[in-house]
Amino acid sequence: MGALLQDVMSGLAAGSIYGALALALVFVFRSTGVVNFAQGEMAMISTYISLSFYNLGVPLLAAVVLSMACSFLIGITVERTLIRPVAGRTAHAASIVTVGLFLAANGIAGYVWGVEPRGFPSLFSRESVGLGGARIAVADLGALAVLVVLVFLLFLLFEKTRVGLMMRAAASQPASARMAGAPVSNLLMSGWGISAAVGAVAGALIAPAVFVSPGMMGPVFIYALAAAALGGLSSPLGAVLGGWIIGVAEAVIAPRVDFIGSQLAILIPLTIIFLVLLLRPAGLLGVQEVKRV
Amino acid sequence: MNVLEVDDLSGGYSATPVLRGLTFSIPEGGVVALLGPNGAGKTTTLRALTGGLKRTSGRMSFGGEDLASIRPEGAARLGIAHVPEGRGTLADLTVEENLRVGGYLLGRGTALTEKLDVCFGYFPILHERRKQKAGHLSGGEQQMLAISRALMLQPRLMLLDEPSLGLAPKITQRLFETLGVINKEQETAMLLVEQNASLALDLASRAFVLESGSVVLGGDASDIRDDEELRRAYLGY
Repeated sequence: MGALLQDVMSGLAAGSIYGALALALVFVFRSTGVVNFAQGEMAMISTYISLSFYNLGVPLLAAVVLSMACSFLIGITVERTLIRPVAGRTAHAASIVTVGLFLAANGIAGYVWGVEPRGFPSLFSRESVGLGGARIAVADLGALAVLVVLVFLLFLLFEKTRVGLMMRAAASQPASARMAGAPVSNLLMSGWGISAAVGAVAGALIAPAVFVSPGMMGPVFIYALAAAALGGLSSPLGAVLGGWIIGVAEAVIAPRVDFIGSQLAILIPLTIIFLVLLLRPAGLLGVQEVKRV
Repeated sequence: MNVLEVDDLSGGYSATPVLRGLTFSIPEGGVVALLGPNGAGKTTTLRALTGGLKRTSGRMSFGGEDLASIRPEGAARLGIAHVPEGRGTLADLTVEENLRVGGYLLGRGTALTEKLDVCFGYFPILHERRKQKAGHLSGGEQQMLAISRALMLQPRLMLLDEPSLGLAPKITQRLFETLGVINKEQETAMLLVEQNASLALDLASRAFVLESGSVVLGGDASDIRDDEELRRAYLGY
């Protein structure tokens, strides 16, 4: 029982990190209609920036906040220079550009920071607390708490603020939003900026466990994509639930089914993506596109 | 006093000209119908007024402002509201959210809620459905929503592209009656592109018939409506 609880908790913590990156994906998708395959690599760059600030003597929390600000700027620059010129050319041109950006970000990080993995300090204490016979790491609880706060803030932004409403409008019908006088290009740009900042949080959460290297976000991104697909690409809450389901499924199944082990654990999210797309293409909480003529 | 003047306007989308020396005007608060066959340049004329056209020559001015380098956002700020063909509904937003998007320039204050009430007054069904996704509305309701979204701009001029398209005659009839009331109460001028010429001529005070991008007939709507020969020659009914 204690072992199961421990696995569930560590699954929730890992799932929170997948969920955080999935939130960034959902944010870009909802505010601009693009699946950003470079979301993970952008978060990796953000993590290097956090680390650089930290190495300059900035306290860790402040370093992460500064990195979020830099990431916001990187996000809007990417939208301005790489995404906007191709947006609207063909349906998937922008998403394909992000695949190129994935490779470019990898190369740039290796060039600037080198490819050797570097350690990253944890935002939370290394201690653990006892709970029902299990030892729960404080860092795990911290990751969970950060994600809950993050999703709540994003929910408020989208559903309760005027700028969030206009972002949704700009993503779904840019022409109509423009005709209402909305600054559509600035809205799309901020969508990329905010999601890059959310990615910086995901990076800072995962970095202590995986070390910082150009390839650090690869598997995390696959899990995040699975989480977003599972929850529905247009639903922030769905992305978080998706992250948790995948995190817990992995943590509970992998040690209990012999042939999976640690090498095949990545098959769990892939199986989930496949099953969801097969059974419920819009995801658990996603909205099936409705159109009536 | 004219709210809109278009003088000898030529232009098109790339190299091919669609408008060729188009000249017409809309009086302040008036309703003007733009009639003519498919491909005559009616929709293009509406797009030109919100910045969707490459102009090669001629002038457009709105309330004294030159529209030569107008963009859609700028047109909205000047008070030109476009109800596009196909309605431009934000399908995954609710009815009320659609209207709030339309009222973006009103800010957050009471002006916004007042304007919402004005729209719900003209179209009570939208009030009933205000929490529903706009994509679930019927065609007629979506057209009402598109008109209301435009109304949220408090426009001096409303551009209406084929509002009757795909709607049942009875619904179209009621929609046009409401447009007449909106025109009077809100003092909104309207430029109406419409296939259904007889309906348009009832609502409009003036009408222009377009062919191949220029005006071939213009005058009081009632004169054109009452002259069978003109109607047969230019409107085919």
